[in-house]
Amino acid sequence: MQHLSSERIAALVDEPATHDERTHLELCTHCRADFVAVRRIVAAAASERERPIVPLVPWHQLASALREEGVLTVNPAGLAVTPVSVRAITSAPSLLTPPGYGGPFVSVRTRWPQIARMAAAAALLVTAGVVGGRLTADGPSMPSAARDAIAAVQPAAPGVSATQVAQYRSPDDARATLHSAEETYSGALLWLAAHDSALAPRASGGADAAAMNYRQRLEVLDAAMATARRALYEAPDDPVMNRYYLATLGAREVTLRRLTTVLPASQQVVEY
Amino acid sequence: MRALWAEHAPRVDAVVRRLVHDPDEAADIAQEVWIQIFRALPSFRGDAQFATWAHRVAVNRTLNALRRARRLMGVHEELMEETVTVEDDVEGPFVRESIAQALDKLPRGARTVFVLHDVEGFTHEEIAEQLGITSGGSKSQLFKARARLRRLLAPLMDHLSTPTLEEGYAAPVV
Repeated sequence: MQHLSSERIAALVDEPATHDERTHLELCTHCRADFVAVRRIVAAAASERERPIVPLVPWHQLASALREEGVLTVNPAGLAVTPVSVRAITSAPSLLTPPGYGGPFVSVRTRWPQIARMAAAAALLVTAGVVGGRLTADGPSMPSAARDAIAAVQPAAPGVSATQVAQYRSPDDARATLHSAEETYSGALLWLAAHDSALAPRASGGADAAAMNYRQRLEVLDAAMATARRALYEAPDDPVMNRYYLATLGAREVTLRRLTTVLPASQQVVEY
Repeated sequence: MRALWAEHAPRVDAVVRRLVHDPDEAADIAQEVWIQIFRALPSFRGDAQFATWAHRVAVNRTLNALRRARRLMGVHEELMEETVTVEDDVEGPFVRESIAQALDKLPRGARTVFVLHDVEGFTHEEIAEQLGITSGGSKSQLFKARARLRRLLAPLMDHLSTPTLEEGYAAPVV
């Protein structure tokens, strides 16, 4: 019997073979290898369905389009109002909205002071980290700018400093600033994940060491995502945590792709 | 709305990205999809999982967008005329030989049928209805797509271990 056509072999993943075809597949290593390869491709394709990606459109852009379309309504204060239909779904049990979350008409307006406090707390954390890092790097002598920065934020904790509040004229203004900073942060994060020479194959360790480094990073990113996910249970609307989660998800995807580049061609990432 | 989007966008957008080759076009269509999802929310009766419903909306909207752009015109002829011209590409690193990358080498129509059937799990009857073709035509395109992917991924697949007896032919459950 002649070799089976490639399309017929592709069909045999779903359709039963005839007696002759079955006999041929048992005897012909070439056709059997083709069949196994196609079946592996189909299995791998099916597993793709559950693989998430970083959203293609950032929320601020989608929200703007939704407002233009009149789908996202804005109240006189300029704040988005969640439609009843969305509240019905987001108040149902789900990953981000555990039982008990949300109630009737939990509007963005009533939550804004809380969100502002959380965003300010995050900013405070970053500022303190930067200042702390500088202090550590500079030794015991504290630069005057650092002292001023600490003095400026200390009285406001755990709230918002007067200087920070004065920078923003409206919630949209604050959101725009937050988004701009987040985009810069995400871009740098993804670039580092793809180009960080510290994790690239090195002469000393080679590809094996690089793969181990990527695996360690993936473990850390998974832990970070799990923490962010738990935080989103508590504050599903929080912009900082949403962005942190998405940025971590993106970094994980990039790292996973980097891991595949340092593995031998015969290896496929199934788990790390 | 944002919470809903944050939870489901990673998978809804993935459907769009798999169906649309061009990243910019995929982003435009993803935005259309989410507008459609939020606009149609009042009609969502809750008799299915929201994720399932959103997935269906994403597929329908994406196919409509592609159809509108005449991306699907003459997919059958396109597939028949296609020739394998990617030998140079498959010399690249492992990641470029992945299925996601190889999908980009398929003609749009074959890619659509493969993604809908083998990735998204639609039946040939559902695909035929969506694309305005027969279920036999859907099968034909799927098998051509698989065969082509096999050729495109040959360097990768041939590096994998040779099939064992257990991995040999076994009649599919039908």
